[in-house]
Amino acid sequence: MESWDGYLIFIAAMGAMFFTSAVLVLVWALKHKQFSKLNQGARVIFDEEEPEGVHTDYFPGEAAKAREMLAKEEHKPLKHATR
Amino acid sequence: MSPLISFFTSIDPRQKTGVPLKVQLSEIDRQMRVPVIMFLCFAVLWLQIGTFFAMVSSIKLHNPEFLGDLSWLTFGRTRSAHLNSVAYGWANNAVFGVGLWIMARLCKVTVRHAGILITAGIFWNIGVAAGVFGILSGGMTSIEWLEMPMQVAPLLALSYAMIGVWGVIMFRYRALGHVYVSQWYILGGLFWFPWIYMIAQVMILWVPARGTVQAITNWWFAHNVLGLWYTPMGLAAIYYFLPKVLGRPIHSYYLSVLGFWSLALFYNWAGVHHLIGGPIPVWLISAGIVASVMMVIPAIVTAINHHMTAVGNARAVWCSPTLRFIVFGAMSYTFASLFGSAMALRDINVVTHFSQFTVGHAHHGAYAFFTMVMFGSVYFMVPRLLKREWPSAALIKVHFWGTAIGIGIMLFALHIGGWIQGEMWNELKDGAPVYSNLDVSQALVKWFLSRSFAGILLTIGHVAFLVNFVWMLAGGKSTRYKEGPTLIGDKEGSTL
Repeated sequence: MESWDGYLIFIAAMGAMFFTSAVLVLVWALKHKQFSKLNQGARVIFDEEEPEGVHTDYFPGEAAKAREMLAKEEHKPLKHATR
Repeated sequence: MSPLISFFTSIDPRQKTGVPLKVQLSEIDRQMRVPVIMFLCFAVLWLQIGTFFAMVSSIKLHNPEFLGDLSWLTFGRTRSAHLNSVAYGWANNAVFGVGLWIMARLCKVTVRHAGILITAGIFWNIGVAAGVFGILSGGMTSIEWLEMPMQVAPLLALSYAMIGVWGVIMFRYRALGHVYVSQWYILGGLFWFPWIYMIAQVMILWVPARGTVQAITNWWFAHNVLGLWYTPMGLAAIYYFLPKVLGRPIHSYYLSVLGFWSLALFYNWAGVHHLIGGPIPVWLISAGIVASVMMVIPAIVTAINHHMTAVGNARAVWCSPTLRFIVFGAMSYTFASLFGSAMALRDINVVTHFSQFTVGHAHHGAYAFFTMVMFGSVYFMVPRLLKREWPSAALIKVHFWGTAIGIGIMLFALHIGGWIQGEMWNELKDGAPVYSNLDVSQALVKWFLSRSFAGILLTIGHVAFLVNFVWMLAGGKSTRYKEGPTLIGDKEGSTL
């Protein structure tokens, strides 16, 4: 491509393709009901090892103390993940 | 069965049905252990190398004679070696490790033929090493963010293709059901990065466009590397780890989806704001400014979501090494995005353009946001992959405070110093500049010194991270996992 305009058209075309691909995926997501029941979708990260309602990460060697402190703060019984 | 069909059958990562989820996740971690740990090893190594070049470059700014006799370590080379080491070495390896692990866990699929992934990872890092060597030996290009000699690009592109495709395969064979927002971000990033990289390579280096079109392509690429590669991966990690560690779903899942789609649809245009005032069509600049301002939407949406998820859990955040870094990164994302939108406005850009303010903004996004999030992710993932606890809580705290205070000082120095720099450049009397370049440079010295001091703190943090990581790999205190995040055994000291 020799001319400046040719490159500009190419860039604009790339931008348009970029935008179009995003729109197409958005349509796919709508068709496959990815936007329904969003509250349930938000919970897919939890599992039986690291369930909802359980804090799962502490500094090494400080877990027991941290759990106790958090439980005291929340005024509820100690909870931690076990297998 | 033909060999081709046999191969495609063999890469099917779906697990057998009826297997308990606990077993599935354990199998995923087992399959991902070697490739992910390999990527993280490379990442940590490149972080140290990049930090060395950063320190040398920073010292040279207020002490130009420092290593001034060594052609390999002149400012132009060390600065570019720093950028490429941390961008393609540290950040990309971290993305490969963290992104693929999150993807595998959310898709609930394993990686077959992990050897291909490992081989591709090794070649990627050979490519980066060759590129950084090329920069130091004087073979660099003049294109920011693409300084590596162009001969390295095919190797990087091929390696990336062999790495990125596994993310796509996982998504294709994912367990049916909802696509979590982190999966969207990772999938988007995996498609966007090769797209922008290839176009930039072709249009700037292989079949070079003429004149200012190169600059347009350059900044379209450079800005999108941050916005459409590192940002989606960082946000994917935040949306996964923040609710996961706190044990509560993200505050508004609707907002998180809105944030992703606004990024996907509009960010692509924003990079042109780097050329405000340049000799390119005004409509193109205006489009870039509009897109930049529209980025306020994902920034605010994400800020609300992160804040409302973490609110009331400050102590829980503080007790978690992962969340300390992740929340720091999430807050930085908000501020960096809002600063970025403001910097795209012409009246502000006329001051910040070409100044240290822009350098500060780049570190705000790439370090205070992205890198801190990756640190947090590593602290969560590695114990689960190696089934052992981090050896030293003290080193994690040194890492956090060194990097948090260090980047805080650096951002303050570069933003304030950069603004003063821009104002001095713009000061006119009777149409002539009031301050000479020497005046401006002298005014910047104290801010450059502050930056070097910040660099020392960052280096301390990075070395603490390195020591802990190596110690972890070596198996230090491996029986203490029960007290920590992995919670594998029934009692402290039980074996795996």
